[in-house]
Amino acid sequence: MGWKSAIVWLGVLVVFGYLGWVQVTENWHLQTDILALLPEDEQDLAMQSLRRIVSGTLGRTVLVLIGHENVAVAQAATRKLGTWMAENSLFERESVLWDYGQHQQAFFDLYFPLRYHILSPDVRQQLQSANGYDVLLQQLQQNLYQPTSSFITPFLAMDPLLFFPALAQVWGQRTGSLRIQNGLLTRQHNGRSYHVITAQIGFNPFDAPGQRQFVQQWHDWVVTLQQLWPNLEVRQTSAAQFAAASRESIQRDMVVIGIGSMLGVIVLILSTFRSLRYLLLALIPIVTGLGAALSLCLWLFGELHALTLAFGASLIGICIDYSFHYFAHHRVAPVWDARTVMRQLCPALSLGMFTTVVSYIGLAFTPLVGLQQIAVFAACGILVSFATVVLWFPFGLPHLHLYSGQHPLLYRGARSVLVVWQRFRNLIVAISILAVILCLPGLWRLNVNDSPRLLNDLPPDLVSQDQLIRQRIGLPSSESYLIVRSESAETALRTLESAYAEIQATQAGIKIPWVVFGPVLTTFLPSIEQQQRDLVATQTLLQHGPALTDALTQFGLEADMIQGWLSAIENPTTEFLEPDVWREHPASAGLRHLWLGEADLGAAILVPLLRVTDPSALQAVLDRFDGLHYVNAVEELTRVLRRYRRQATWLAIGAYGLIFSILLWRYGKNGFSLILPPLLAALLTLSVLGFLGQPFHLVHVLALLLILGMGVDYTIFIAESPPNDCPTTLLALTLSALTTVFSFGLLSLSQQAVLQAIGLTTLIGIALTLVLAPMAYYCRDGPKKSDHVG
Amino acid sequence: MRFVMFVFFSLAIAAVVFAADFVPPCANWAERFPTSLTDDSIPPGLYRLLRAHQKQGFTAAFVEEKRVTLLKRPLRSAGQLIFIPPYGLSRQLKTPFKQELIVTPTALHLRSEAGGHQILVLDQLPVAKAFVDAFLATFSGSWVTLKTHFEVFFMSNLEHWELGLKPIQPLMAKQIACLVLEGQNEQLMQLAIQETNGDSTVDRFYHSQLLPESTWLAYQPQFEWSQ
Repeated sequence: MGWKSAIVWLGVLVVFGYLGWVQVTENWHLQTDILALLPEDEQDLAMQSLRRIVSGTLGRTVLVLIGHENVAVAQAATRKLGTWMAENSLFERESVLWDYGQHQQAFFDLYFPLRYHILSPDVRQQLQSANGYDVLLQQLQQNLYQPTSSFITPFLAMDPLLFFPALAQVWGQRTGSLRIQNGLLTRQHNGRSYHVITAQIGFNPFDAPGQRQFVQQWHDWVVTLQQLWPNLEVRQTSAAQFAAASRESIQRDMVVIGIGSMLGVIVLILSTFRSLRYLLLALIPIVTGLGAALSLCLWLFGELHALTLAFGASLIGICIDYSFHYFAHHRVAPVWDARTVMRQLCPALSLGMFTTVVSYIGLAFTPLVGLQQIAVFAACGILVSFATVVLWFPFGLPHLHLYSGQHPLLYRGARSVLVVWQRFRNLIVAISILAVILCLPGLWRLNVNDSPRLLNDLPPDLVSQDQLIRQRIGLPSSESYLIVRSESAETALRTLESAYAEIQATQAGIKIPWVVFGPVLTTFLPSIEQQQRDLVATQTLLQHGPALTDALTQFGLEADMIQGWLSAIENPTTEFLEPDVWREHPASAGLRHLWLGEADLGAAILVPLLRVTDPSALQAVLDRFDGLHYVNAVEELTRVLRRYRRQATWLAIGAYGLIFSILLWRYGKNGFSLILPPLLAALLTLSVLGFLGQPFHLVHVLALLLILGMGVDYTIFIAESPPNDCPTTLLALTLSALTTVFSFGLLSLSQQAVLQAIGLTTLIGIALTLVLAPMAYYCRDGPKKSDHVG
Repeated sequence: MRFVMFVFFSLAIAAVVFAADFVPPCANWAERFPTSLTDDSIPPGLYRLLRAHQKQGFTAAFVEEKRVTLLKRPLRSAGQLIFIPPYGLSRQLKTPFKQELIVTPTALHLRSEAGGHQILVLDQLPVAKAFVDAFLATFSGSWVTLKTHFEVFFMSNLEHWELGLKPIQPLMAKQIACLVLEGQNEQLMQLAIQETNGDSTVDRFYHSQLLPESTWLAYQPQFEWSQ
C-alpha cells in the first residue's frame, strides 16, 4: 500500500489502457444479436455452421410491401423503389426481386430447353403409365377447346404435349396468394393494390454502421416516395430493422441507467460526504474497472455483447462498495491515518472481493458465451476496482475529514437501525424466517419459461408491421426448416427428392397436412438422376410416334412440326441442369439461398417449412433418411436455454455452497449467519417473482448470483467490522445498496425484457439483503454490552 | 376414284369458301365502329339491349370455331351455354367431347366426362381472370361494368346490331385484341374474340333465350358440382 505499489499499479493500468485503446479502435464490435450469446453446438459443428448460414441468410432478407388505392401509383412506386434498392450497395444487387416479368423470361430461357429433362409431377406420372401419352393427348384436346387456350397455343410447335406449361403451373403455386401482374408480385386487399419487393441486405444485420445507414436510407426513400405519391403505404420488415430498434433501445437504456446511477451516486456522495473530492475519487475505480473489463473482454472474445456491457456496467456498481467503505470510515473517524485504516479494512474488502469473484468465476466455465463474457467482465472489473481502491485511495484522502465531528444523516439512521436490530433481534429474525415460510408458496408459483422470446423482446410496432406484411403476402412466419446434408450435391438432391415424395405421399388425402413446404429446391433443380429418368420417360413417347403424329395431325399441327418435336426428344441437345449452372443463371435469383453450400460441409440444402402441425409425424418420415435434419429454431433455442438455465442454477447453488464453505472455514459455525441473509433474500426474491407471475428464466439465475455476491459482501463487511465501527460499516453498506438499488431500479424499467428481469430481481434481492444483513453481526455472538451502539 | 375426287374437291372448296368467309373479328374496326361510346352517347339501341339483359340469365346452344395460328384447321365444337348471374357461366361442351366448364368471378371449374374436377383459382392466373372478367362483363347487361373493362362501340342497322369491345385494362388488353357481339333485337347471335397472338374464336348461338330471375333456381343443379 506504499508509493511503490501505487506506481506499479499505475503502470499496470497504463498497459490495460493501451490494450483497451488498441482493442476499441481495432476490434470494437458491439453485438446486439441475442442469439450470439448462445453456445456453439458441441455435438455437430457442421450442423451448427449450417444453421448459422441459414440464420444469416434468413436474417438478411428484407420484405417490402408497397400499397396504394391506385394500381398505377402502386406499380410506379414499386418500380422506383425496386430500382433504387437494386442500385444501392446496401443490398445485394441480384437479390432485389421486383421485376417478375424479367424473372419469368429468365425462367423460360433456362427451363424451356430443359422441358424433356425436368417434368412436372403430373406429366411424369402420366409418362410412367402405359397409356400416358393418350391421357396427355386428351389433356391437350381439353386445353385447346377451353376459352383460355391462348395461354398454351404458342407452345404447340415445340412442346405440343404442354410439358413446360405444366411445370410453370407447379412453380406458380409457390407464389401463394400473390399473383404476377404487369411483372409485379401483386395482391389486392381492401381496395388497395399491394406489391412486393424481396431483397437480401449486403451487410451483417447486427452491424451498427450498416444498420444506421440502412435505417436512414430507408427513411429517405419512404419520405421521397410519399412526397411523390401521397397516401402511399410503404412497409418493410427485416432483421436489420429489428436489430437497429433493439440496439437503440439498449443504448437508450444504458444512457438512462448510466446517468440515473451517476446522479444517484452524486447526490448520495455530496449529501453524505459534503465534498466533490469523494465523487472524483469514486469515479476512479469505476472507470479503471470498466475500462480494464472492456479491454480484456474484447481481447478474449473479439467482440462484446451489448447485454454483457449493460449487465456488466451495472455490476461495476458493486465496485463502489469498496470506495464507500473507505469513505465512510474517513467521514466519521475522529482520528485519521489513511494507510492504517486501509490496512484494517483490507481483510474484509479482500474477502468480500474474493467471494464475489468466486460467485462469478464459475460462469466462465460454462460453454455459454454470454455467461463467459459476464464472468470475465465482472471478475476483471471487480478485481481492478478493488486494487485501485486499496492501492490508491490512501493517497487520495490523506487528512481528517473537515466535518468528522458532524455525523451525516445516513450514519445516524444506520445507528438507529442497529439499535432497533439490537432490541428486536430475535423478533426480526423470527419475522424474516416467518416471511420466508409465508412466501414459500410463491416458489411453487414460479413459472419456469425458457423461451428465447423472453430474451428477445421485440418492439411491438415492428412486430405488428411484420405480421401485417406477412399477412398481406400470405407468408406465415415460421422458424422451422429442414436441412439436407450429404457428401455430394447429387446425393443431397436425391435424398430431398425421395423424402419430399414420401412425405407428400404419406400426407396425401389428409385434410390438414401436417407439414406445408415452402419452395423446394428439387422443383427447380432436380438431381441429375431424376433428370435422366425424366428424359427416359419422355423418350418413351417415341414408341408411340405414329399414334402421336396421327393425333396431333388431327388437331391441325403441321407434320414437319411434329417430326421436329419427336427428333428433339430423340436427340436432345440440352445438357442436364447442374447446380453450378443453376446458381449462375438469373432464373435462380430469389432461390439461391436454398443451396447452402458444398466444400467442407459437404453439400447442404435448405428446405423452408411454412407450417408444421405434427412434428413427430414429420420426424418419423425423416428418420428413414440419412442426412435430413428438422430444425425448429425456437424449440431448439428453448432446449439450449433450458439446459443452460439448469446448468447455471447448479452453478449458482455450487457458488452458494462454495462461499458457505469459505465462510465456515473463516468464521466456523458463525459462517451460517453470514450466508443466511443473501440466502433468505434470494428465496424471498424468488417467492416475490412467483407471486408477481414473472417467468423464471436463465437471467434470473444470473441475478441470484449478483444477490449472492453483494449479499455476502455485506455480511462479511459487517462481520469483519469492529463492534464500534458497525454503524460506519452499515453506512457504507447503505450507500452501496442505495446506489445498486437505484441503478437496478432503473434497469427494471428497461424496454429489454432481459434487462428488466435482471433489474427487478436484483432490486428486490439487494433491498432484502440490506434489510437482513445486520443479522450477520448480531447472529455472530449475540449482542454484548460493550458492543452497544452509540 | 370418283368418290375420292368428289370428297377432295368438296373439302378444298369448303376450305376456300370457309377461308373466304372468315373475317378476323377486329378487321376494319375503324370503318365498322368509327367512335367509341361515352356515358353521354349511349345509343338507344344499346340502351334497350342492355336493359333487356339486365337481371337476366341467358341460355343458348353454341357452335364454336376456334382458329389457332399454329393449327392449319379450325377447332370446331358445340354445346350449351348457360349464364345465371349469381352462379356464373356454364359452358357445356357436347362435341367433340363432353366437358363442363363453370366460370365464376374467382375460379374456373372444369369437369370432364370421366368425372375429374379441376379448379383453377383465378387469383393465381391473372390472364385467365382477364378472360373471365371479359366474359362476365359481356353478359352482365350493365353499362358500368362494360365501360370499366372495355372501350365500347356500337352499330345497328334496323334490327341487327354489333357491339364492339376493346379491353382497356392492360392485362386484358395484353391478351385480347377485341370482342364483337352480334345480334338481332334482343337476341345474341354471335360472339367473336380476337386474341393478340392471332388466335380467334367465333361462337354462334342458336335458340338463345333470356332467363328471368324466376327461372334461375331451376338451373342451380347444373352449377352445384362447382360449389
